[in-house]
Amino acid sequence: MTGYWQRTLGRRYTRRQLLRAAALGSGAALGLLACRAEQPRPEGEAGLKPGEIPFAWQFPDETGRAVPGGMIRFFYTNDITGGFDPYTTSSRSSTLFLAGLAYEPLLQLRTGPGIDTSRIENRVYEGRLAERWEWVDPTTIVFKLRRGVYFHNIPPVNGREMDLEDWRITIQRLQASPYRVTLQTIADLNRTEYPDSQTMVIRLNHPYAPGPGLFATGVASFWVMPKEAADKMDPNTQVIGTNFRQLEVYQPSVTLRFKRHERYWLQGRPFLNRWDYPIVTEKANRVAQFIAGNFHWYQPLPEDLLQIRKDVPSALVYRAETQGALPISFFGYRDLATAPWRDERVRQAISMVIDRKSRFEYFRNHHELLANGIDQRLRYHSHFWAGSVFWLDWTTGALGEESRFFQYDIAEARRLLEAAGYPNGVEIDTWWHTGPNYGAQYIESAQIFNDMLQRSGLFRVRPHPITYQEYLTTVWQRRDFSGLALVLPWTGVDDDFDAGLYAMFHRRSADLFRGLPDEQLEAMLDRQRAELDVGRRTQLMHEIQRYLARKMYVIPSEGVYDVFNFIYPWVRNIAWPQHSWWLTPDTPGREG
Amino acid sequence: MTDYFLRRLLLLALTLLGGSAVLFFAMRTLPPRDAIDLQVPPQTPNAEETKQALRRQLGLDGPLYRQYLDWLKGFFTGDWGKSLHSRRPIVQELKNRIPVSFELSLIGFFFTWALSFPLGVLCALRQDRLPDYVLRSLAYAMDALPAILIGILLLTYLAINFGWAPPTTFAYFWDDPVRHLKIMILPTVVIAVTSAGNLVRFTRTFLLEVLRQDYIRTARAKGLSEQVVLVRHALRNVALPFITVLGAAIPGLLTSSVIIENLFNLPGMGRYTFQALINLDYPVFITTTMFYAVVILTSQLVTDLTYAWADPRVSYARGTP
Amino acid sequence: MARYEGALEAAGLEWEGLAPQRPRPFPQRALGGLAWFCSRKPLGAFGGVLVLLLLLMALLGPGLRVGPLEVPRLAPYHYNQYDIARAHLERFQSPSLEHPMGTDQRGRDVLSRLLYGARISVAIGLGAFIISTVLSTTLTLISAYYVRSVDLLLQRLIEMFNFIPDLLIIGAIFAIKGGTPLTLALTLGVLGGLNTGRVLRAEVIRIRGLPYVDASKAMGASDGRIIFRHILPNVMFWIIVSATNAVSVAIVAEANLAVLGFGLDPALPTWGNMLDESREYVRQAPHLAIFSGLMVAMTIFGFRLLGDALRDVLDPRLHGARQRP
Repeated sequence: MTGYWQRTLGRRYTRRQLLRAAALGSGAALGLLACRAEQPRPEGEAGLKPGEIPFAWQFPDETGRAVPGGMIRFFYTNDITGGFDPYTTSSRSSTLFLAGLAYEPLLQLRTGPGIDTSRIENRVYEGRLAERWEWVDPTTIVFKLRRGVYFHNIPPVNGREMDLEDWRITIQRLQASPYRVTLQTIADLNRTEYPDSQTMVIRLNHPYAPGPGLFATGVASFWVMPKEAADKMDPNTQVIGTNFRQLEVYQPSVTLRFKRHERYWLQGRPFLNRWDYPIVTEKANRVAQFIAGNFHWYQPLPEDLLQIRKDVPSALVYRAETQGALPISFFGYRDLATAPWRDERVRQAISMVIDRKSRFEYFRNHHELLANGIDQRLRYHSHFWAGSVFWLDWTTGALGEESRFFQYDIAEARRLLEAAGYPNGVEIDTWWHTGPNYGAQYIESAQIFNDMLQRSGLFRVRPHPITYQEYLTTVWQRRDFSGLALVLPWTGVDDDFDAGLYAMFHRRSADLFRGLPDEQLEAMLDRQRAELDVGRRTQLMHEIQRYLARKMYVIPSEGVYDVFNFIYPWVRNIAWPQHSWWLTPDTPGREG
Repeated sequence: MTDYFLRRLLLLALTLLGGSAVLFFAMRTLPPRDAIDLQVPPQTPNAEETKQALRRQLGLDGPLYRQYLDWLKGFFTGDWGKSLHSRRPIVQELKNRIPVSFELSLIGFFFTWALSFPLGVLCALRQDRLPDYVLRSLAYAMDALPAILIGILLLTYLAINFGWAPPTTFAYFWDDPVRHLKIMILPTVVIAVTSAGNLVRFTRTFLLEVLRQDYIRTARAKGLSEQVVLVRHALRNVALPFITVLGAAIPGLLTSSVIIENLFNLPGMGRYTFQALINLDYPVFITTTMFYAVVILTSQLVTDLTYAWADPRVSYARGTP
Repeated sequence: MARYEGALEAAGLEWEGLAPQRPRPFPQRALGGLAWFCSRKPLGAFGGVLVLLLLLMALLGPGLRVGPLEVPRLAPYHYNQYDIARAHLERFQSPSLEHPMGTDQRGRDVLSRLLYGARISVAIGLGAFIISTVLSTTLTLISAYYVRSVDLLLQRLIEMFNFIPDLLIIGAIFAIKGGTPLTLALTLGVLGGLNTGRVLRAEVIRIRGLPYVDASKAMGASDGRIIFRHILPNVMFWIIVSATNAVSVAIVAEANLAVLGFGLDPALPTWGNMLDESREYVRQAPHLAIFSGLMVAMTIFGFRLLGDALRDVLDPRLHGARQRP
């Protein structure tokens, strides 16, 4: 209770505030009606020059001045309806978010002040729960167990030290999990061996050229869970990991709170005491909370960025790692063998009536931000994730002749359709879902895509906005539909994009989007994966990229961009990962 | 009287039983797919076996009537099952959420009574004159405003102008009363505004009707002051039907709380129920619906009984429809 | 009176006393009634104006094509009129001359979308009303006038539906099958019909027990005659009032469902969808939320006032000398 009294009595209520209350009460209706959306000054806002929004890694190293303690306030946007076990949950997004907070993977990307991870050459993977690791030969990876790693002190694990058995059980559960089949198709695991109590050896069936990225990034990295997860505890309701945050409280629909792990393996870390993730589903509420200082961090939509910056001038803005999704529109299997789009020219035509530049700029509010000196560094996807190692930029023609299949060119599309034998256009069904599961932008994205198809004049579109359940089972799982499913946001990519390619186009993948048989493509995919010479592999990957552009089995759109985050200046040392963040002593409500 | 009470109780039990059966079979047979289909992708190796195993584990295999009987047995013994989605026991969730929804309904109830009734009386007394017009317009205007609009505007402009937002993490009244009150201020305001106009119309109409009755004329003829006529004779006769109608407003209060819960981050039953709908989580949905049903039917019974007890004219002897 | 008009003159007699009044022709009577209504119930008249506005918006806003008759749309723009390439210039505009209610996130005109939405809301409301009336009158007739056992069974069935909140039922149906305006109208109609059925049934039973109906029966009136001559005029006002209610209920239900995530196809410019979308942009474009919210509020407000006034005027129990305190 003392904290409450300190806060209340410490705050001063000025006469101005009281007068304002009275005025607001009587003039509320008129005031609201007169409110206008403010337009930014076109010549640029004062104080925001180009290049002025730094990356997190450009902030200084403040570890030396760290003041331990305090509760940092984040938030989460949805109810967590699934269980907590990332390997068996039915609610992937929320559980994966939670798992990333409480568990740790074997490897991690090296980050810190001065390390520009936006450049691929700077991305180095170092051991996290593995002390060392190396590719001994193209089919063998050796991991060394890190000593002195302790689990959270929760029964039945009770804070014991991590050992190799935990790794073994985790991999076992992973392989039995319905949600991680990608690991099997990617790495084609032959077996895992444990020659001694500190070493794990993973043997693959084939050489794996993308090598270094495996186990380090989202697709194939996995979280180490205690061996008790197999029998003595229920990982759906209990979260016991090794990360510096330990789940303290979970109140359904209310909050997630983590507390400091006392025996974290990184000495002296973390500095913070608590992590608060209240579940706030209403956007207006979240904005209000950030403006009021109840959240320390906020990631605005591009539309909100300038307005909130004006509302909260004391908050810092920083740029984060390039993000985004790869929205792909894919065809249904039901009549693929006989439909007009079995002909690649029809697929190319569909791609060419989509104005990707306008779409991307619209969704990222590009013009307004650019007018205020904020450049998001938009990069457009080809069939490869934009910015990945082998990606070629079709906007500059780097993709070669096949760049034109991404360009917005209705006349050319019409010629293609005529050449394919459809001078009067094509009838096509489009599919997307109307639930909130993929976010509000997904629905807008699908609607705009659908409108673009329709307005081109070349297609007679029958739209099918359906419920999420029907979409999940009919469209996504069984592919039992005729036509085009729009802008599915594909995420979880590695730098190499080999895993993504495999998942999308190889017949052994559970998520196959190709639909039509293509042995040539599969041969190319298999070959590049085993090609150890970097030069030759690069050539192969470029070839595949051009081939995919011509084939257009799926229609990619949008791309990657820099995302901007707000953070209050009370939070320091953000160049490092969160275990080294600390709060200044004058943070309001520091201890929660 | 007791006779009537027992009959109604029996009827209530039978209705609930029948309703639960209808609900159960409807939820299991109508959706073209079930929750397990949503949870296990067909690309999973051994998808069918996984689904079957999952079904067996969660008690979803076997003939439907047997599942219903098992569920019924569980209902009476206190084992209300687990959510299909989160695998968490439902009872636990309900224990946490019922107080919240109850509190919201209570607030709605209170404001409906505290605002509608006096407003309605005033309007009836000044029928077709300026106060009547103004008050009724105000009440209806407030009632017509969507709760969500009021909520988001309040949140936004309070934050911008005062830098204040309600605490994000919910606390029960007995855990942290001050924090709880701070959380409940805004929901209370929104509920008050949107429920003020609910029963103004009814109160006004009924009072007008009552004021035309012979016994009111007699009372005035006797020389009683208008005040006494109003309180002793008119209002008492309005109060009874008002209670009935208030009871009938309870279902509306229950469901309108869902929007408030989503808006202000309150862990209530409404949110739980609608999440269950999205996930086809039928045990949760049926349990919460049965809960609502019990509340509604009980409140109907209570209002009927109150009416019977309070109104000497009403007798619930056999044969009344 | 009308039947005997002129009879006296024909017989050559004269009536000593007040001269019999010829009833005025219908249009004059209608206008007179309207004037009386406006003067006696100004609030109701105001509500009536709002309702009329809404109906006009719904009818003419999107444009009308009935056979050879074609009325161009009143809405300045089409509801889905936008250009993505120019969206950055046209989006989030405050109210202006070209866009009296501003533009939304894609640059579409808000006023036009609201006008199209009006038609959807009115259509759902009317559809629900028709279904509800047909259903409730059928139920009432069956249960009040015919087989007793059927009556009992129906009553129990209806009671079973009564204890589940309407929103849950509709939400469940929409979650499973997906919501279209037709489904919504059907569901609301059925639920409303069951509700109104109960009320009507009680009324019919009450009227059937009244002495003058007994007398009619004693004189040998058939069931049909009793229904049409005695019962129907008395329950007519219930039906009229429930008509004014139907659109309000439809609007509120649609808005609630949209906000909860179970709404109609988001591409349709229904008021509920617009209100739902506006939440995303409430900080930089509050006019989106305000205008859609006000539109909803004004419509419900108008229907409420009109319904009130109609009930005041038509309810037989409210007639009689007004008591002045």
